[in-house]
Amino acid sequence: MGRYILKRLLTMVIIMVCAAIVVFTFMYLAPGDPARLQLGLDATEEALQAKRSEMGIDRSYIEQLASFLYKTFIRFDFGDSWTYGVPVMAEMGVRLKRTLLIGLPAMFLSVTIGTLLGIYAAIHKGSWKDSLTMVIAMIFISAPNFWVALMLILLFCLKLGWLPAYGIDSWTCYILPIVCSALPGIAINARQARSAMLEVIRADYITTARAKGQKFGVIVRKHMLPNALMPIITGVAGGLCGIVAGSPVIESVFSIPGIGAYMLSGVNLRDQPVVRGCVVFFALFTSLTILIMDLCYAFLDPRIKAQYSREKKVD
Amino acid sequence: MKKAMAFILISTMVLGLMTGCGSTGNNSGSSNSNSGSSAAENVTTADSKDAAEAEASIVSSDTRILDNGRYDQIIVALGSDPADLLPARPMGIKSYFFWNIYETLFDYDEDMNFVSNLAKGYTIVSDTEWHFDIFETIYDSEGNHITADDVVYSYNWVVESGNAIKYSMFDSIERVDDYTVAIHWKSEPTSLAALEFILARTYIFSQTAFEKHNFSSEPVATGCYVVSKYTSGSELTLEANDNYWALNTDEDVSMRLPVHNANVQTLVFQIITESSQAGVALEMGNVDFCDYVQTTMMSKFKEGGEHADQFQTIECLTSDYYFLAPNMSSSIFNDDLNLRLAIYYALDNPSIAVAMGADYTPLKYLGHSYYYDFNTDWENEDTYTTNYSIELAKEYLAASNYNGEEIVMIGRSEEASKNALTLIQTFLAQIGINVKIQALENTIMQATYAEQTGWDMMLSSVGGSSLVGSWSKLLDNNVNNGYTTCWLADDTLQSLYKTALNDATHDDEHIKECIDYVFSIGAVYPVAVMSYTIVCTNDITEMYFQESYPMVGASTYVGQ
Repeated sequence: MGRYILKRLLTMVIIMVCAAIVVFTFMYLAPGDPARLQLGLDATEEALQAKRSEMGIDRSYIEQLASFLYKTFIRFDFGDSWTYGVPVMAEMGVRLKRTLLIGLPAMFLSVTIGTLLGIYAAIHKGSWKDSLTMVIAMIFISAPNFWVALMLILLFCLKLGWLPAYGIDSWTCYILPIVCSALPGIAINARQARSAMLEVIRADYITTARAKGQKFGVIVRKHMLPNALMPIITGVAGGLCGIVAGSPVIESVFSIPGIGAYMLSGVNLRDQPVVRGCVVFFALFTSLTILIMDLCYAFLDPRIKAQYSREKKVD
Repeated sequence: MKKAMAFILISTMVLGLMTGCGSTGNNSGSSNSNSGSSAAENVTTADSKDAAEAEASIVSSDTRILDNGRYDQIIVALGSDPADLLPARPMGIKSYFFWNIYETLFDYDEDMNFVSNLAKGYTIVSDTEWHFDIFETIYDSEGNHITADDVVYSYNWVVESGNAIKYSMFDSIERVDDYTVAIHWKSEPTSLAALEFILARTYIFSQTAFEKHNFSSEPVATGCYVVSKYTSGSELTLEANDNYWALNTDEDVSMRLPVHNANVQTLVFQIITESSQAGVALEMGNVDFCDYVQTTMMSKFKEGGEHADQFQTIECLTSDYYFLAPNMSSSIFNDDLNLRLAIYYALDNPSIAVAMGADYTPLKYLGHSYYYDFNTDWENEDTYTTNYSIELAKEYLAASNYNGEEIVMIGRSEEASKNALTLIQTFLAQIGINVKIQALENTIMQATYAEQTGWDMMLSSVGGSSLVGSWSKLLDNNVNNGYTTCWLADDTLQSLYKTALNDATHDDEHIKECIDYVFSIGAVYPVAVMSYTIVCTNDITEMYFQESYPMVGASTYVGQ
């Protein structure tokens, strides 16, 4: 297992380097002059040259790429933002906290509520409870995130006055963003869990357990759920990556200066250090999440663990 | 079953839509509206509250005036993130608060004349050397004494950091004595307008403070407000500077503009990028000032609206105006005045303004009443801007060399611009001109028209502190090394433009002469000007504008 993890970590480094090269190349080739964007249309060529020199974009592609890779992977320095004037790493650290403050609770809610709803629907398959659950799930999958956010703001902020509509002043400001981020995840996990449970429910060992007179709750908890968890974990990993990477929408609606909004502003303003830094971070985050997901498979599924053990013995 | 599910889905969507409709009878949450309650209850943010309490101020029970005579707190909604607080690139959203934090050598008054700010005045030593004397008792908020060395440092930093916008006249700066600097020009300045960014947009700061602090997030400057809190992307809080140098000096500073008055104790700028959220924030009483409320929500704040007792609305013109211009290097338009005139006579710009949105007013001339150097009598002139005639357009088209080629028209991808492009395309199709629209994101738009080929017409906007100043993008052939933005190289036009720009001949006669020539060669079609509406608390009795930007810190409040 240790060798497997090491192999995956090395693969992760290669993935991040490739992602860094790709994003660097895309930003390099993207139309628009960052210097002109900073200084405006009236800037003279002299001023533009000075600005390009300060930004380091007057060098050749290879020189810029080499410098970027060296700073990123050897010195762990994404440089200073051309727009914000502060180190990208520092700003990302501050903003990541806010994004994770939304993302992690949203993920927790998605997993717990979604899984419970899915199990509930599977157990009551064919009944109105199953149909209602799936209809609700369909609604939250279909409704656009920003629309749901605005509707919740109108209801809970404007009409009822229970919650603040924007900002990061207090913990209450995070309630609505967490709910809006969680709802699509709840819906997806509910459907995923229901589907996984229905597959397992037809298995012979479940029939045997029932025939032996085991309590249904114990059957669900000890026999059905562990076997149904595999696709749910896959959904969770993907969902977490989606919540963090897809946060610009929620962050824009609720005026939360998180990492999504940071990257969005970087793209709009051709702030290359910010975009590169965010993409490399997302690549790292996604790779780590998938690695953890794979390790969870090994932990939960003895067959996978045994497979690694067999490989070790053969070696 | 399926019908039942469909019914449930539809009902849910309708119910969801209905929660967005109807009115709310109360402002919930903490309120900054004119309710007359005590200071502690009115403060909305923890940091602002701490700051207010630290001042140990007493609020009158009838107004929100503190014992130091200042209004206690104003919360302003900002539509975009200023990103950084460096003393550079003072345009756009930064104009709402940069005058509060930083100071320049000079300011502009209403007639765009230079007025003393940190500099007492200047002496013209020679054609290319001017001396500037600064006040001797200038201190920043940390107590650093500002001398000529700091002025030199500030200018050199702007140049060396690549932030020297419109610095074409500037050659160098040097210290003459402790409170005098000499600026050397590359050539004799014939127009003070050309010195705008050098004298009125270059901020002065202490070298000591700049080396000690990161000005991107914690600037230390000489302004009447101090940055007490800045959360990038979220909030900026300014506190009135009780140690402001101009309040504690024996020198005569009476000529300085009221923009440097701190009439409010705490200014809070909250970044709310979503305009509907800004409207909600006003309704909830969480902000006191917003100038980008959606048109659909405006009626709630205007007379007769449900929030009219707490808010007032102020209509303002912006300096920016839209224009349509041909690429004069394009093979389609080059030397074909008839085609250009055919296009212009086929357009009805009142209709285009309507399509752009309720905030847009059609232009009748190249400029509008916002500018001090625009003569409103010119709007009665008979030009292609005010003449919509399909017959005349077809006549010019018949006389042109147009053979049905596709004309590529570019514009920005904002809603107003896209609507205008679509309508222009429709108008031109009426007379048989084939137009292809490209609505581009701003940076791509800039990259596109920076190229001589690839586009034939452009719909864009310009603005500036003066009418002639706004033409720099349109008429100045320094933009593209001998060509204007629209790739026009016309010596007569250059001569007329420079004459109008020159201070000695910056008058109605020469400005009109320039515009008339522009119309005679069909270089530009003026489209529309944008206005906007400020929604602000009724506690503001007189809004102060500095170069058309509302300055809440310098405005006057109930009880003052």
